Amino acid sequence: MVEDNPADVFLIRDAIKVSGITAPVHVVNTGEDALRYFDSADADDSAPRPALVILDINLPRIPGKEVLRHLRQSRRCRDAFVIVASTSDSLLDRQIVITAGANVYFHKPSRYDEFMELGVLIRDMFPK
Amino acid sequence: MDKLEAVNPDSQQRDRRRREPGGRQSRKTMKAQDISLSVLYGSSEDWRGVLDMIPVAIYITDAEGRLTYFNAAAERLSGRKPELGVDQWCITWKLFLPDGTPLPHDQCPVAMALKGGEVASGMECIAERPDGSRFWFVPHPRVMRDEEGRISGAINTLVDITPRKSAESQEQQAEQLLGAIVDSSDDAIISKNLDGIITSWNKSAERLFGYTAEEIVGKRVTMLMPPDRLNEEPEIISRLKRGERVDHFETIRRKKDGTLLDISLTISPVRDAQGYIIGASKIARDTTEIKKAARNSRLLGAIVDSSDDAIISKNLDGIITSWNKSAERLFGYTAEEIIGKPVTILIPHDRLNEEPEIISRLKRGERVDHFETIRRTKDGILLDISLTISPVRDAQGLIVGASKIARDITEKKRIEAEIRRANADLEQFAFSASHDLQEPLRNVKIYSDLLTRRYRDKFDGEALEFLGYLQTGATRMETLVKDLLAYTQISRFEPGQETTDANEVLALTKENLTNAIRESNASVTSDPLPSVQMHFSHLQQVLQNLIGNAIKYRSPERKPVIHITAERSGHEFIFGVRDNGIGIAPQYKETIFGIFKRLHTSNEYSGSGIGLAICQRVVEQYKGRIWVESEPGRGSTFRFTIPDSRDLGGYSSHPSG
Repeated sequence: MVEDNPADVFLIRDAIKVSGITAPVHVVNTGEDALRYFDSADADDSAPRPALVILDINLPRIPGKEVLRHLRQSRRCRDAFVIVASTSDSLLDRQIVITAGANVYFHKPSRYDEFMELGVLIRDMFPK
Repeated sequence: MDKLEAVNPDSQQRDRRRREPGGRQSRKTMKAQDISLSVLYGSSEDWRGVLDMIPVAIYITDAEGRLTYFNAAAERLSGRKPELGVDQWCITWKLFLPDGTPLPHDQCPVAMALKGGEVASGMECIAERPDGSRFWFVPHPRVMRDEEGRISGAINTLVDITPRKSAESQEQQAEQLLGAIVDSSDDAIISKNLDGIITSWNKSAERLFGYTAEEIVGKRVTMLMPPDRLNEEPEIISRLKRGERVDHFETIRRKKDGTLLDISLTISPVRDAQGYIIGASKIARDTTEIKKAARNSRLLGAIVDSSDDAIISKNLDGIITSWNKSAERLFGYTAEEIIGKPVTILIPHDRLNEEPEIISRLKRGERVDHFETIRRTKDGILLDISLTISPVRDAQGLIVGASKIARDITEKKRIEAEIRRANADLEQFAFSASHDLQEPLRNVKIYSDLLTRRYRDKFDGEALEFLGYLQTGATRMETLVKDLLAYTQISRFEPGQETTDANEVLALTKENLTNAIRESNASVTSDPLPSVQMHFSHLQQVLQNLIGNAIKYRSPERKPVIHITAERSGHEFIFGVRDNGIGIAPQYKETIFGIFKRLHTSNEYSGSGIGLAICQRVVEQYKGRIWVESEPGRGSTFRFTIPDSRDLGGYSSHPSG
């Protein structure tokens, strides 16, 4: 999870819990940390690599789009499933993100119930 | 001739009848005539010969008026050969009075004389010859009497006055023509004698000075002079007496009502047939208007020169004909340098195609208003200028050139660009702010929601009430931020060439508004709507806001009925959204389109106050207009136009509702 807002980190964790997935969740708070994580995964074949990346598009300094581009060029992480989460609901933002290589665009809602639908989305992507 | 009445030339009559067997006169009266003539001239042959030589037409009749004799001149004048004993009273073919009325032969002077009537001496008559020609004559009929004093016949001489008559009529015509010329002149034409007494006065004199001819003819010409100009008259008179003419003498004269006039006088001596100077003709022209015009044109010249705008005139060949001081300041050329040069000297090469277009519009009499373009100074600097060009017409109304007013708008352009930049910055800021506000706001909202869910049991009533306020505030703020974002986003899309079926937009809009429509039990119907060149989401924003408002501001007294219309009008479509809601008071018809303008508190009607501002922004983005027509208490109709540049195939025809 690449997310700088601890409030959203909490909600996304809740949503993952709702999805029933029990895999370990690694959280980085900035774009730089995300790039470092991908680089170290590429450097060491024994290092963990993500199956799913939940990426906040609106990050300070290195924006989410740049993180996404970097991810898709990573040797070991490029096949990860990417859900971009954004406060924006605009069509333009959706198009930009999908074009940049995200698999799913998730508009962060302002109601708790609606936010938990992220969990349903994840379960649908990784049916067990 | 008088003597003829006293004689009775009996014997000649017989003789004459012998020569002219066609005569049917009684022997008795003829005899009497013959006697009188033979007494005078001896033998009948003698007087006949004499009378034939006289160039004046003469004829003789018996007591009944039948012709007994006529001379050669009578035959020539009448243009016919009269018949003795047959023709009665006249030798002429047809007779007329001077006014043109026909005069029957039995009322001719001879007939009248024979019947004992008086014949006015010198009476003028007109006769027509068989060939149609006419002549004027004066008849001199005399009756002849026998010894007992009985009327025995008449002798008439006809004096031809045609030459005099035609001279008279020519003179008359010339006089009439002159009179008409004098009267129709715009100049006052007056004549006076050498004593300074006015002897004639035309219509323009009447117009100019206010006196009628009746009032002033016979009066002294000095009555037209103001007291301080009286000294002019002796001088004028003495020059006239020397035979000199006074030409275009500018002076002042006084009207009947006392008003003073600027006039130009031309005075010529008038001579009689012998060449003696007997008076003068004066031609007076009112120059008040000319003087005023001269003053005006000096004033106009001063205005033109003091104008901050460059004012230039050119003829239809594009040659500069005038150039004011500001033109000099603006373009750097002096008037001396540039007058006579083509105006294209000021036009940059890439703008040269503008000139033929301007000229052709001028020739059609059209004005070019505030045309923004670029012109070049003498130094080659390019200026942003605004041109207003008007055709210049001569006195006959023909277009002979153009006046150009050029205003330097370089500074205005710079400020405009600055304003555009500032606006764009502000818009960017509003967009970013509303965009970035969403996230913290969402956190406030979602965590107050979560608090309520998870800790409801641990909170007391007051804490839950506070949480409620927090959530309401956050929700309202979310609406505001979302609408503000929508508003700032409108101009981020260029109006494209996308074609959108308004029927589809309406269908989606109704779907989006399903809850509101159901809850209010509203009826939303429409005419068949056209396809327009508009971004789908833009048209949807407009329709959704207008229909949403129509539902929101419904009347509590009746079921909301909303109908959407569209009609083609020239090169645009006019859409209408009509409702039967609470309506809008006239004084708010403009303000409602302002951003954050609300006529109601949020307790009465919820909303951000941005909806109509969004509609206006979208419509204006497409160069359309939006307005409302409303009757408070009865309903409103919001209308907006969307220009249509295509040649449209027509409306798609699936009515909805």
